[in-house]
Amino acid sequence: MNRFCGSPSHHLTRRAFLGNATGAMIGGTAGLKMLGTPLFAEQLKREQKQCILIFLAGGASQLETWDPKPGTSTGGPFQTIPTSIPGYHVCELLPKMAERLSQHTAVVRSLDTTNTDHDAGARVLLRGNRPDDSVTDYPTLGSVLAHELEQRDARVPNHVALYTAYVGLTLNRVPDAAGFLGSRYDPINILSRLSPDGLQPPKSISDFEHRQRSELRSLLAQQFVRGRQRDGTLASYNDAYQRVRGIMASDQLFDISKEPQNVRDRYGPTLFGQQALVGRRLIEAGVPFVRLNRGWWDSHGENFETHLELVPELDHVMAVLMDDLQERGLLENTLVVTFSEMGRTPAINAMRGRDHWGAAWSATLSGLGVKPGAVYGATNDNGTEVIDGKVDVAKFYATIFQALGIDHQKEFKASDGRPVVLTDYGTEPIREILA
Amino acid sequence: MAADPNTIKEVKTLKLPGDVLSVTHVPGTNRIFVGGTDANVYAIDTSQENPEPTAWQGHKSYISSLAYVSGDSLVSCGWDKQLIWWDIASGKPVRTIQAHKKWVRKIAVTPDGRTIASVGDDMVCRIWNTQTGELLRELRGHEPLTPHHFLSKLYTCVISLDGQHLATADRVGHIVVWEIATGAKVAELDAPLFYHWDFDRNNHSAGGIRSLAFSADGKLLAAGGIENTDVAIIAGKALVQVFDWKSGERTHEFKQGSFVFENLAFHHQDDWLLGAAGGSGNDRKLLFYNLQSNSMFKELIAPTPIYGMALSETSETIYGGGREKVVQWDLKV
Repeated sequence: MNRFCGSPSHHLTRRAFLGNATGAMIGGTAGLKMLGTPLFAEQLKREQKQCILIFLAGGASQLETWDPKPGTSTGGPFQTIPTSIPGYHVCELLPKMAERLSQHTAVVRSLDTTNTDHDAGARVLLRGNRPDDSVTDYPTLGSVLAHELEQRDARVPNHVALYTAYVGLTLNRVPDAAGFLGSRYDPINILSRLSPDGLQPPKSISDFEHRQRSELRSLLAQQFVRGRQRDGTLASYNDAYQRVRGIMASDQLFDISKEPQNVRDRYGPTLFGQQALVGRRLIEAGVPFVRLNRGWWDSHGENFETHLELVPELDHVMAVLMDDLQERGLLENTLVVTFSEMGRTPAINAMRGRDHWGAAWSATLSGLGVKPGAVYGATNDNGTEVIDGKVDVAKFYATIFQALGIDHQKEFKASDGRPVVLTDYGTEPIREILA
Repeated sequence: MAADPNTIKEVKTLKLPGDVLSVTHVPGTNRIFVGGTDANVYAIDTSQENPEPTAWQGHKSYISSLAYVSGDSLVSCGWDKQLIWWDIASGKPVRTIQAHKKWVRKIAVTPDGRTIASVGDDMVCRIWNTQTGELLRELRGHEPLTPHHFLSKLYTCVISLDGQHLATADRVGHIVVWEIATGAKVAELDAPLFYHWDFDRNNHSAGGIRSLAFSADGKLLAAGGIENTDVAIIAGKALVQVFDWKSGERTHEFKQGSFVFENLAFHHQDDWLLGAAGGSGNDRKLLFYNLQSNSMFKELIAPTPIYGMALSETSETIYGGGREKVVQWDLKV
């Protein structure tokens, strides 16, 4: 789907930005100065829907976040606090989000995804519950959304994934890949830092030489592809090469030193906070999909100590990100989804840890397409099972797609030509939380 | 009668509704008080063949520490940020104080029963008059944030047998020794091996000094915890470091197993040092160290991970609180 509306103003704005950004690579930062200007934000607001996935790799505990069970045998030591949604309480570790829930956010407390393994859980949660596993190159959520939300003339990356820790990349052994959609929608992975490696050409090659080589490669590639137009892979590679210079020009998007000090302070000093600021800059520049991969939440031992450290950081970063997106007029066109590959057991083990649990856990959706303050589903008294509004992965995905204005029953063609539907036929989104 | 770890035997196990995180013993008696995850204090007379614990209600979250004061007075603290004074005779709370802004982790009483110290995740140690509940002093000597910008935790405190000194220890392995009478800092030690920050693997911290013990002569200070751990916080080596705290010299270090030393106690005449640990599988142990020979000389696999522990004043009896039970061991020769 091409979301380019075709209007002259769109064209001018995008080109103006990209032209300046390319220029910035050579000698200035004029394009970046457009970030944050009301005109630019307004333009994006009209034209583009975007998504940030905050993936809590390793499995965050629903009991220490969105579905606390204080005073029960499974409840753990934390108490609850009221939220801006009447009657709804969250764990005391989330005071900032508690204040903001009614403004931006819907909570789903009734995910039942059955999976209790990092790999399998991530495979299911990052690709959707694929009914036909024989399509082995089915793209992950980020690639699907990058494909659906991209603007064809954009030279910013389509899909960027920032990881705080490598276990989120290596233990969740799910290739975050575009599969049959083509490498144009593959992620740029950024691990334990704020920017990707190798955006700049080697020092031994001048910019002029790089341009010349690029033009020659493009000419030869066009001749080679001619007559092979049905080969999507070739076209995809060519696309990727053509985008190289645009993406190279976007290197300053990753440079948070370009932000005022008070903005950097606001996001905080942790890597996750800084990566969230990079994420906001990418969204502001028009990147359709950004994944903030905050790991590693796997707390088989000392669950409460781990969550005492990580949940306040999550609370802070989510709250600041929401505020910043809203203040820039971006939140109404950006969906922020937060989930893990699974939840954690209500039962507390001998090491005061919680193990893997897929039968009853929570996620949030904020911003674009979401009914603010909606709380969907319920679990029983000790949190072991869903008693109202069970949500499987397909239903959850359908809700994400609908919030972004994407037909969740849309069909793609897999590499072998078979039709593949975004969510299984007959799947219904959670309409109660959609705006 | 001597207390010989080589004769240790389990003499009693008592089931309880929740996990037991803290145990305190009334000197000269068979009475203990325990508390834990079900937020109740239990009074137990271990001289009975089948003790029936009496539950006292007052806390709103886990009870993290208990201290017998004197006479009929007991104090408890919890993750509900409260200190509660109990009348032992009636089992009723007589004073409840919102003592800290965050979890209260540990309390310790001076041998004369007049003063109690509490530490919490607000990184403050508070000194209280046990008779009146009056706050006497606040001691601030621990950084509120870890070097990696996360909230630190002030896990534990202990008071020397002469009642002169108090030691406090935190998440990053910083130890402060205070003079109780004046509140003056008299020593600071750093034991960084207790703090583990894994930037690449899980991007959060683990560890912290979880237990402290002064030797009977007051010269040594032992710190316990975990050295390192994996990404799921389940497989680190238990760590004990012993310091001559006045000189700052580290005199001993022991590492083994895969667990956290949450409890340490010196023999009442410094014959040995006892560590009790919680862990999975067989990594739930009582370990006895001879500091003279610099070796561990006795190891016992416990029927439960040990979260809370009390050693009697004669060192002849150990009470260990763990997974829904309390276990009593005797070391009498």
